[in-house]
Amino acid sequence: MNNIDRLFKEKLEFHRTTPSKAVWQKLEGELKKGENNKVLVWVSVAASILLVFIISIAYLKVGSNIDNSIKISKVNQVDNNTSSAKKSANTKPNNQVVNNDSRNTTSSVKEGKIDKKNINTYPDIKNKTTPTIDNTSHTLKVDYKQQKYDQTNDAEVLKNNKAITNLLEANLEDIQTVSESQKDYEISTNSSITIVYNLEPVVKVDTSRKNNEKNRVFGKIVAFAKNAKSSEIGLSQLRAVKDDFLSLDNFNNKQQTQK
Amino acid sequence: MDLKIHKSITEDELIAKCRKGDSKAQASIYKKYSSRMLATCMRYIKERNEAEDTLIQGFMKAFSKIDQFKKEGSFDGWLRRIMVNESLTYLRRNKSMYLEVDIEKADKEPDYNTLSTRLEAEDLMKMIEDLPVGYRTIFNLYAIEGYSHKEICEQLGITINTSKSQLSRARKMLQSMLLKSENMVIKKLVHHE
Repeated sequence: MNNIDRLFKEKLEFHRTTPSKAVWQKLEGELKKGENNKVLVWVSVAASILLVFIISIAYLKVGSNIDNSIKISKVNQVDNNTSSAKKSANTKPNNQVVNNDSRNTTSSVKEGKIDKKNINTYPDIKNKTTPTIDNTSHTLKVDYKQQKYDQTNDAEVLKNNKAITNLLEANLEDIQTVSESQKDYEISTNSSITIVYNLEPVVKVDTSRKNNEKNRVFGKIVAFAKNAKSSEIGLSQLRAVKDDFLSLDNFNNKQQTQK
Repeated sequence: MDLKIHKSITEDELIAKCRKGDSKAQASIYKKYSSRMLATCMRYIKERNEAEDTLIQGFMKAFSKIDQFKKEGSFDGWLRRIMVNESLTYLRRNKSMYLEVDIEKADKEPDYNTLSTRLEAEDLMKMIEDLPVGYRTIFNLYAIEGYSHKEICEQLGITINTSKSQLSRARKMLQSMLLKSENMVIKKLVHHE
């Protein structure tokens, strides 16, 4: 090794020069800045997680509201049959009614002013289904066929609500019975019942009407056939039956699809 | 021996704490190494303010990349390498490194043993400072840091020949400086007698 190199290395390799105090202060400031940035990153990450959480909670809440509105529309489907079925199934009649005052409720229903909330507490019961009450747990168990709910169908829900009001007014006696077992319904709202709805109650009324008409027309045909067999056939009769038959929706639809 | 073990454990602990971003540990590391690291920076950068800024940059880099420090080498060596790199970055940014200057021919070799006892580190630092920046950089890297010419070429982006010629010129310049100071020492001694 070169002599000059050795001399300088020996003397300078471990040489010390103490920096001024300002240097540490400056460095400390820089380090804290970096630390703050880290904290900022973590805070923003935490905030975004919280935001997502809040949004999802809000979304779920909205979802549950939608469920309520479905329940309202569902009540529409409570008809005489169901109410009577309910009556027979209600093993624990409770005199406590919707507003904790039987007279008030009765009168309010009579006047057609039905509290939405109270409607919400009604069970979601479908036609021709027999609810049963588990005596030990007091939970209402109802089996329904599943149908998808179309969330966009708000107009229909409103329509249904109106229909509910009418229906409730029409079947006041049954509704009172329903109201009597409010306690059970409260249990039912605590998701002890899996409720599946048929969300086309109005359409369903139409369908039954159509079915009636169908039956009527087919009855006509059968009558015509009988008449034709027993007595003379008029051309005008034949045409009338044909027109009636073609006026059936199902028949028309079939023709359209064939086209 | 016990003391040495204790010391190494302390340093390991300090480094471990630094990894977690412990500000007290960072302060301890700074306190322990800052004066040596500043001296290193000042061998490359004459201006003290600039050298101190480079020191800050070096420590910032060291604390942010402390995860990359492997226990195979000494922490001191690792830190000094960072400081040297930061100094070179500074020089690359701010200076035209390779100034050719005429060198006074040194006709004889000084007595290095006498110089070693007579000269203080500060005197030698002064000589290093007086070198042109290119000579100084390569002399520092080669003679004091112990880099090879190949490493120097890679660091500075120059050819091996340039590195070698700059080193020999730096040595010659330092030699003449040393002769001058030797003469001054001798004169002082004669004067005293």
